[in-house]
Amino acid sequence: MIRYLRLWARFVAFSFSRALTFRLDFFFRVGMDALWYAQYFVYFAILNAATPTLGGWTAGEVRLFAGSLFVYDALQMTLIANNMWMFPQLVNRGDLDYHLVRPVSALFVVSLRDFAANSFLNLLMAIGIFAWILSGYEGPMDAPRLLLFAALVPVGVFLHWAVQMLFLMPVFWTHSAHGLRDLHWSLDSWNARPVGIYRGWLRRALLTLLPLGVIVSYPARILIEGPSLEVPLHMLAVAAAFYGIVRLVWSRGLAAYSSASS
Amino acid sequence: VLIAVAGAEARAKMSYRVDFWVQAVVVFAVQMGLAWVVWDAVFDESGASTIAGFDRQGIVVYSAAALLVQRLTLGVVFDAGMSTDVYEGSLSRFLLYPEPYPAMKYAQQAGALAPQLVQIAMFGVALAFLFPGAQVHPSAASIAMGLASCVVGNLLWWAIAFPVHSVAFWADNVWSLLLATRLVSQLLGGMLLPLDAFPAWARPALEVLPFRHLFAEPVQTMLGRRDVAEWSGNLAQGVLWCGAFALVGVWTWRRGRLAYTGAGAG
Repeated sequence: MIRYLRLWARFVAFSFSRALTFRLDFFFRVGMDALWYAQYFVYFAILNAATPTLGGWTAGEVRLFAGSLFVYDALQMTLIANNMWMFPQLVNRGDLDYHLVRPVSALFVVSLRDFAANSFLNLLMAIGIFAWILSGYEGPMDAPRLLLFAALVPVGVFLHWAVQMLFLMPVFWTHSAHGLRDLHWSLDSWNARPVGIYRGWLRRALLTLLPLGVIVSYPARILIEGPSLEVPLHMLAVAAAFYGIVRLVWSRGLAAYSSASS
Repeated sequence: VLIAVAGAEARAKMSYRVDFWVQAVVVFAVQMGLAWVVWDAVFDESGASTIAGFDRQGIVVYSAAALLVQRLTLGVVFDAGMSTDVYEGSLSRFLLYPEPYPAMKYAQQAGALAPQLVQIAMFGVALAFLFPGAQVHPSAASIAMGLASCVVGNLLWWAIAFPVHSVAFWADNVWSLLLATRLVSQLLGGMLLPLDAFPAWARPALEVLPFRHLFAEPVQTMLGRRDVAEWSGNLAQGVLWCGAFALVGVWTWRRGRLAYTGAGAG
């Protein structure tokens, strides 16, 4: 474990030095993410002007959800987004070979090698926006809610990684992840809406089979509804199940992988 | 030459059949499904009968039409843009061709819209069957006018994106800048929400900005919510915006070419 943490610390240091080489892009990306936050903020504000509640949540609660969304997104953009973008290319070009021969888990390296230093700045911005939303929130708020929320956001990011990997790993067999990647991007916007708007079989599916309704809404539920055992247990169970599936598909994928030059 | 370039690109794009069907059916269904669920919840929880001038089915039709129009107006932004040619050095090849580079690239991206045209035709018909009760009134004339607005919208996006791509002459990566431009356009152009849903104080500004010509105007026209006079006025404004952004594009293109060294050179 310590070995992996030290390795990841090296990834972070390397990513910062590389990011500062391309300074203009560094600030473009910061600006882009800030606009993304603004887009969602305005979107929810307009929806809340049309309805007193959205998915059962009041305007203040939806704002809290939006703040949670920004923190989650900044985390996933910082930790995994670049790696997920590059993964199909690693398989197609045979560059995965370099990671397979390293004396550490290839799945770890493939998933966390590129730490997006520019998005890290956005993470600080997202936390700032979240704190601002929290300061104006009129509902009850206490330390247990915040602590449990802080513990569950990384679980949501982990779950997002697992779902995304499942959409990308077919590249081992299909050699093109274009269509499935587009599909995942489209599906990803389903986690950017309060889970309460989904009903019936769709809601059940989004809480289990394709747990997009869990990723952001469940940590936000803790803030809004208070600590409960159901929410963390549900998130952990789904995360464990999806990790198991990712491991299984990954090992099958590696068996099918033949490298670009063979 | 330009028609031949567009034709070749259209054939190339249509040959990727799996991508076409994933994009055409699955991605569209996912995006439209989300719009449907969101608006259903808003109507249920607000108890309103109309929002932004649309009834429940009408606003879903608006959202679906905006998704389809977006594919036509935004086209292929990232793959076929000038920034890629600058980074890969393939701009050098185009500079040797007898036709102007911007015209060649525009023809290329216009040809790449062939799958999107097929998708619009397919789903446009499907929408009419899915939402027969929607209070929108498309007709052959409104669809023809709307398609003309889409052509202007596509040209406008090209004119907006061209100077942004030109930043590639000086910066190492413009992907974020392009995405930022798209985010602003989608929000202020009526892609995410009808512009009438915005607060009254914001609407005059949205009327003045160019972004509504990318999504809101083509969609509203197609749905039969613009008469000929309104449509022609909006079309003229859209064309004027194209001209304004083209001037910026010419300026950045001339300056950028002086900075261009070609990959591997210099």
